[in-house]
Amino acid sequence: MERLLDEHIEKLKTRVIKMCSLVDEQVQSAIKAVEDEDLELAKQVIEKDNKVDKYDNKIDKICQRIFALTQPVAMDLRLIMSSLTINNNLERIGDIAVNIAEYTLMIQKQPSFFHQTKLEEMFKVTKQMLKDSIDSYISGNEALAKSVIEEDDALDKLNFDNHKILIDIMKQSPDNIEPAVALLVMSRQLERLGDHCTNIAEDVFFIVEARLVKHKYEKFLFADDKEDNED
Amino acid sequence: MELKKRKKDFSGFISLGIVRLMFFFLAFILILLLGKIFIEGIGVISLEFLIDEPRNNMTEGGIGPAIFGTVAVTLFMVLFAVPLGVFSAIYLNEYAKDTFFTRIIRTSINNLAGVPSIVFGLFGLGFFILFVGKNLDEVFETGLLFGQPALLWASATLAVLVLPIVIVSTLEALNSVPKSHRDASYGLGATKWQTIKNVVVPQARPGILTGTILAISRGAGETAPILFLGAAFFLPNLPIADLCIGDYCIPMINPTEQFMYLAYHIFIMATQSSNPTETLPLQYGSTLVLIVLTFLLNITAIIFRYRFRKSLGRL
Amino acid sequence: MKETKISVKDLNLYYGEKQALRNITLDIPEKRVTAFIGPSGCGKSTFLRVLNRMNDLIDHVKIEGEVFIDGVNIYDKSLDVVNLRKNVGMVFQKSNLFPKTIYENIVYGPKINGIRDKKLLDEIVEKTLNQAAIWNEAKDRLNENALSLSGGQQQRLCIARALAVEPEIILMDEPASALDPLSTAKIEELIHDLKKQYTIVIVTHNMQQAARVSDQTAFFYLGELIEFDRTTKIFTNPSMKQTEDYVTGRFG
Repeated sequence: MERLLDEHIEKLKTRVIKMCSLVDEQVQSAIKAVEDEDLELAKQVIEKDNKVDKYDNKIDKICQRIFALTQPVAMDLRLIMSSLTINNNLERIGDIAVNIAEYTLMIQKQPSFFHQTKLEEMFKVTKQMLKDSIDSYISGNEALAKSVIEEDDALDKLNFDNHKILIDIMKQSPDNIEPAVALLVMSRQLERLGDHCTNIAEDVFFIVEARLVKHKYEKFLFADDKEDNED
Repeated sequence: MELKKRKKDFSGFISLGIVRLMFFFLAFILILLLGKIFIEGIGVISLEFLIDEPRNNMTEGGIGPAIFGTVAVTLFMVLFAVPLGVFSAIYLNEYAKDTFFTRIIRTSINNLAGVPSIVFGLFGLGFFILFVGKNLDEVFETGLLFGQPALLWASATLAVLVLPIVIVSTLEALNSVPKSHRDASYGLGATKWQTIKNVVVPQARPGILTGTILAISRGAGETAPILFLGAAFFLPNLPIADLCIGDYCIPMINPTEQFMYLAYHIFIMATQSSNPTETLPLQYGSTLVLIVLTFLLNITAIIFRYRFRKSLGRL
Repeated sequence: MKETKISVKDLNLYYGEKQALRNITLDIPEKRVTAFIGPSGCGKSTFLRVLNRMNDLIDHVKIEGEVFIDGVNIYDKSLDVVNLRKNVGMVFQKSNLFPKTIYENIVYGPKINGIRDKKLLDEIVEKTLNQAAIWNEAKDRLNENALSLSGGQQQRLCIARALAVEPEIILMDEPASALDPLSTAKIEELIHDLKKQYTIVIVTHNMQQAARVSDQTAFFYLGELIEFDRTTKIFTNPSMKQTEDYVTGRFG
């Protein structure tokens, strides 16, 4: 039976998917700008951010309308709730892309010790995590979502390694400090990006099974927790 | 937006015209009828006419005893017919299961209304007088008290005649009580009889009274059934006897005597009196009295019905 | 954890040849609100009427199975049905107040049960009208015809009337479906208050109402009980796909 709500939900899904591809593109471009030292590309990324913000608002608006005008329950409810959180995460990822682009514009040329860091590897991992988390959301693929969550550990380790490496580099010469700090910040940003991807993947479980996997993904809690005041 | 001009509804106009014509025609006939009776009869009406007994072969005097007889017979008829009819209807509607037998009973009740009234007269004679009355006389050794034409049997026969009217009106009234009210009563823990007594019957009262009114109107005007059940053209005394307890005597209607009856009286005057032209004004007068009397007999019931309807909030 | 007030086991109901209820088994807890939802004709009203044997009033109805209230099988041949209905009250979809005064409507139940003392009856009237949150509106109109009240007021009066015989369980068959939103809200508030003292079972075709008002919800479809669980679960994550389809409005 075609419901009034279905029209809204289709619209919502379309916008979320568009937001996904937009942000994915931003991250890809930002990273490429770093790798190729492409200042033009970096500038484009920064400019395109207002498009990301626009989509952020659009998605919030349509969710608000759905809540006000219809009374979504069960799977519809979970879909809409998660659209809001995913929207949030995507917007933050977009901001991270902008930060990376700004970094490129700031230092313009990669420092010599760039390749000593694990940044290139981090680039690879985060790009993959983002792609996978978006795919798992769109297709409801729990196995894929699980792999994203597991991958975050690896990313955290890379970030940790970068800390050590860059601190050593900084100790070598005061001239290194400024660029090293910039790279340190970028490493952290990438680690944060990974966290946001993990959040998106956790939401997949919520939508599909109403399982709250957040915060402690080893423990699978049920949607109607004993903690809400029953009996 | 295109607003169309009003078209003349031709067929509707014609239909309305025909209906209006019919109505005025009927009203005209009614007015003619009642008017004629009133005009011709009003001249004869006087206190003497209403109280005195007839004299001089119905050319003088009044119709007092006939009025008395009509009232007495109608009263007894109602006393017999209404309780019997109401309780029968209650049983049929509320208690009886829908079987072949009950369906036959219902059909018979409806068909009874179509039986010619003279048949009731014969039935009354054969059953009440010659069977019940005769046997009562034998059992109580009262000679020829019950086994002859009397007020009692006339009332009983008329009661049987109007019984279908009472039953049908009551059935309709009972059915018009919404099922939801019965459900509400049962839901509060009432038994079937409590529900009928406290919820159904009170709401059916206006309908039952309608049935009574119809019965009175029918019964008071019937001639054929009472022809040989006790109606007399002329009686020297009213059917009254004294009920004495010790020294105190109260005059009461004696149901074992014969009586005079307005409808019968008019019939005889018109057909068998030796002086039909002289009695003509008397006939009109009696007819007028009969019409007014029927209305008056009904007035109590009408008033009660009005009050019941008001208390039910249906006015 | 609340005790079970009504326990139904393998209940089947037939209208003549046609089976209207199939193998219904469920336990209704006391002093809670349980809602029955489902599309038209799914049997929820029929099942409600099983609980106070109102189906007995319809011809050609056959019932198999057991219904226990406080451990007693109410379909036992020796059970006094009239007494049962005193303990299991019912409020209907449309107000069916008698065409009598407000006072007479309320005291009908107690009087039927033999209470004659005027003082006691007066107390009952005041108590139940207060419980139904309509005392202030009705106290100066006790001798007026009950049908002169508005629709919402009439329904609250019906509830008061049902309370007057002191039931332990109150069954409500779509009590607010004929009312405007404000009156509906008042009735829902009333239900929320009443559940502190009474076990309430409510049939409703309005899902949002079931969601607002009940603690447990049972979903019926084509005479079968599809799912019965806490209301929160039914509306956030139902176990059966049919339930999910119904509460999200994909059919019904």
